[in-house]
Amino acid sequence: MAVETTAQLFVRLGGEQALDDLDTKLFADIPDGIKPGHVLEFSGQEGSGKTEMLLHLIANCILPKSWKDLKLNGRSVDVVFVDTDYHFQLLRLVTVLEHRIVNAIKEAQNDNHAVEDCFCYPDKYNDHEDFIKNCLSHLFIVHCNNSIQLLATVLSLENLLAARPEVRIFMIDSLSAFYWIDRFSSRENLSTQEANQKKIVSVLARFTRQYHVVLIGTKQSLFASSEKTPRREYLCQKWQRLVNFRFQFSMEGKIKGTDLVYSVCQTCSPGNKIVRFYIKESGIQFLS
Amino acid sequence: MNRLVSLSCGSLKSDQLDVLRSNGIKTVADFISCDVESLAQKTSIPAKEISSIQSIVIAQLAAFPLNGKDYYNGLMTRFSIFSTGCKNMYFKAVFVDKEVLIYYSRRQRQTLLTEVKFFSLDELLDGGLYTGDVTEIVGAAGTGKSQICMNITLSTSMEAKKYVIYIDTGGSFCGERIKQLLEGCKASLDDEEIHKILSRISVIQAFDIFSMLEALESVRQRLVSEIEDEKTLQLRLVIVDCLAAVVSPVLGGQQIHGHSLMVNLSRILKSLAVEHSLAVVITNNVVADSSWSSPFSTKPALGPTWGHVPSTRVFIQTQTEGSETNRIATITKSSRQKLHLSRAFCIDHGGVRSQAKLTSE
Amino acid sequence: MQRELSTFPLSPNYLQKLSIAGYNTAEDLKDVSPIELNLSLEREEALRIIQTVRSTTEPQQSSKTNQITSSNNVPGSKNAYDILLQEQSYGSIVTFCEQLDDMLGGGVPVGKITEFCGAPGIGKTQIGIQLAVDVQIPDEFGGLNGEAIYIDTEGSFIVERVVDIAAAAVKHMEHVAHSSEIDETERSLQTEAMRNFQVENILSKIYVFRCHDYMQLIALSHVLPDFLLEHSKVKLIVVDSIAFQFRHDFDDLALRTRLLNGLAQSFIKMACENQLAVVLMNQMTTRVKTSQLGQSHLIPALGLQTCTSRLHVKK
Repeated sequence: MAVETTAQLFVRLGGEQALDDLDTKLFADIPDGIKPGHVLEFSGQEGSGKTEMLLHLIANCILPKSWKDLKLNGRSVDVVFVDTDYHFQLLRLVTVLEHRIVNAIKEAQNDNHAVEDCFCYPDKYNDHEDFIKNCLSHLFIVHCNNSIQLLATVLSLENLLAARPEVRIFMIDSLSAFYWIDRFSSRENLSTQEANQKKIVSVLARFTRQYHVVLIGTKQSLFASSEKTPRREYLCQKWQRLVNFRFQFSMEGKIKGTDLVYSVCQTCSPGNKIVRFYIKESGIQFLS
Repeated sequence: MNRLVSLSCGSLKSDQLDVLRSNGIKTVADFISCDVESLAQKTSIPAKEISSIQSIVIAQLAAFPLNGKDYYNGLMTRFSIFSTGCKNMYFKAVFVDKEVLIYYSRRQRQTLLTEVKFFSLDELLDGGLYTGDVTEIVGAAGTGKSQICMNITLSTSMEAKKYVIYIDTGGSFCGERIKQLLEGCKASLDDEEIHKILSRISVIQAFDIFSMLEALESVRQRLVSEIEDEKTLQLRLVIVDCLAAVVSPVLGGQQIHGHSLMVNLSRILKSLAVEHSLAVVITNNVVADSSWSSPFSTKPALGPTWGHVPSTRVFIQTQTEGSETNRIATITKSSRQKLHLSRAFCIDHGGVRSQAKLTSE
Repeated sequence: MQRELSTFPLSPNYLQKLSIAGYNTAEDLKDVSPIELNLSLEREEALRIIQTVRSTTEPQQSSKTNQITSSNNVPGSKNAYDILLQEQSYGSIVTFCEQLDDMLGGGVPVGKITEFCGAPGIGKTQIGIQLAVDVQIPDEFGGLNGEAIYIDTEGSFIVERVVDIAAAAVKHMEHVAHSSEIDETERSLQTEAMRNFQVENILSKIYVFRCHDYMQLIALSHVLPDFLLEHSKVKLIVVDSIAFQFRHDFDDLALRTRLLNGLAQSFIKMACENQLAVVLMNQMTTRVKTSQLGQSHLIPALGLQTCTSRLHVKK
């Protein structure tokens, strides 16, 4: 059990405001926004933009509110990212951060005529590389290879959470990575198969209560879905009860101009509002 | 519980293990997630001892978190992009096309000579093959996947001077063809140089999934144990041609073992790519796709579980217009590029197609 | 990263016993002796399990101490240059049809799978029989001097036809031996070789297997490697035809694809490991295409995707 000092506890409780909804567009439909302790689930087929959205949210978090005279609209919080299937691409995150800086420069200079791809930094922003590296130091990445290692890793991360109260988001991409391996080694015994998963979920639930972090988990679609077989829920019941908000990602396929449109829909919410976005080189761009 | 014995370095005696087992702690997972106080009360083992053993076991099993900055610095030292060898290069090869019509009754014979000119596959892949990525090349039989793989192999060995491992599942690696391609690029090469270039390519033949797993595991072991050997230090590319041939016999039906083996295989490939900074290229077959949303009438084989694994996917089709066959490569999944960008690579009968068709569907 | 025990070629029975006892990865079995492996198994079985796991995880230690060169290679790998030299030393099986040989680059290649497809009655069996005779052509005439395996699934292997083709081949070779273009030493070698290249000998070197359904074909593919160990001169396997038993009575198309892929992989393994040529005869099926031209056309049946070369035979 990790021990947190009173000072750290106060910092943590006082920092609720810092989260500021995580993202205004994506979570616009949620009354009162995303608060610490909430659990979100992102699910969808491959290539539907889940990992890209996670990178977008990471960028929202690790950037500061402003840098020099640029408005970056970040939240300056730390993020822990648990990567179970090697999906995380750090270089893509760096590209997204660079684009945000460039856009902020353009806004600051009111220069809308600059070519989008031109990375021409005025002299006073020459140390942008160091700045990006400093932002990256607010991100912690762990790779896991099987469900027992995931359990042990999650338990050991408690020390990190206690020592750094600035950590506000805990992301796991993805929760379904060990499904087939666990299913085979348990020989179709559902309780054995889900045993590790249940333990992991209970530890994570404790983290959300105790350390006030937002938990985001992604779920891949492992089964071909058709009209006859609706989407199967294959994660354990405990996780399903824990989730506050579920988001379903899909590729719409409609093409506006030359770009593909993606959509994310919050399932089980009144209204079922669909948010659409492009994925460009600069990251996610919401359609208004 | 055997693992618990070895992991706790023998600090738990066998009678203590029995006591734990009778209290419901049967596996390592149970032990590390149990509540120390209540367990100390139920058994007579002191809480301090349980707690310290628990920390040891967790520390042994857990993965260590990396700070983003350190991870980035480490990545930049090992990152590179490899050309597919299709950059304004001109392969003059007398390559008898796979599907050839012959007149068996000894009248006229007809052979179709083809010249393959690749020059734009790199553009499609945003510069080439990135280390740290698994790239998938998908297409029906005879569309040129193995040819592309051999091109990539040669280009990496010849231009980038790095070592390549080519895992061949169907006897598609042809030494003669590599030599042809080599001579097509640089006609004036002496034997010693040819020997040097070809020596950088190691070919492993794996005809079933267990030998494939073994081959990949042995590659990984060599990289992990950091053998001071040029073949290991300069290894940058692993090609598997064709993955579907070894995985599809075990996949499907009610068997879960097949899916579990496939997931294990995909984890080894991904860990080779990400942890050891290699570029990994896979070829895959196609199956019929009856869903309305796909732009092609076929989809990659091996199912949705495999579909999540590659970060970039290139779809190869052939298009026959009259007597000409065109091959078109389309990006259908990429973390960097716009999707459905296509490039035609030209298969001609004698003439060189100088313009590439650029279509963005 | 530890390797799971399920990735080793152990039977599901053993895997289950191992996982119940708590062994999940190769690391767990590292220091365990067969006696300690308390799985209610015979000692030999326990020993075999441990050997399977250990032999694949600890090859480097032995090779490091023994040979310096072998530790440089991933076990089982070959250099591309060595492969090139090896391919250049292989022969190919001539078919006596000049055009066909040109097309194939000298003849049916050794170490690869070649597929002949065509409508029924077009002459695929004739090609198969011709190849089974041609593979036996002596070295002195530029042949492979090998033996042949003929797997007959349709019942189309007729001995009288083989006799005709063999007789024609013998006659052709005699003609070559007596032609005026070659020098004396070669002529004497060839005449000597002709003594063994007679119809009875040719027939005795073709091993015919008759399969009545697909299960027999698959079973045969498992048994053939041992047969090839005893008959190391075999240089050709002809399967006539691969499509026949798979086309009917197969409701589960996915199962059919799986079985065919597995079968193709066992054949290619035999081709590569034993340096022989595998020839498959396939039937044609009609694909009705409604999207493009609206015309239906013939495509090879079964959608096999593993052959190296495919030839359509048309009239």
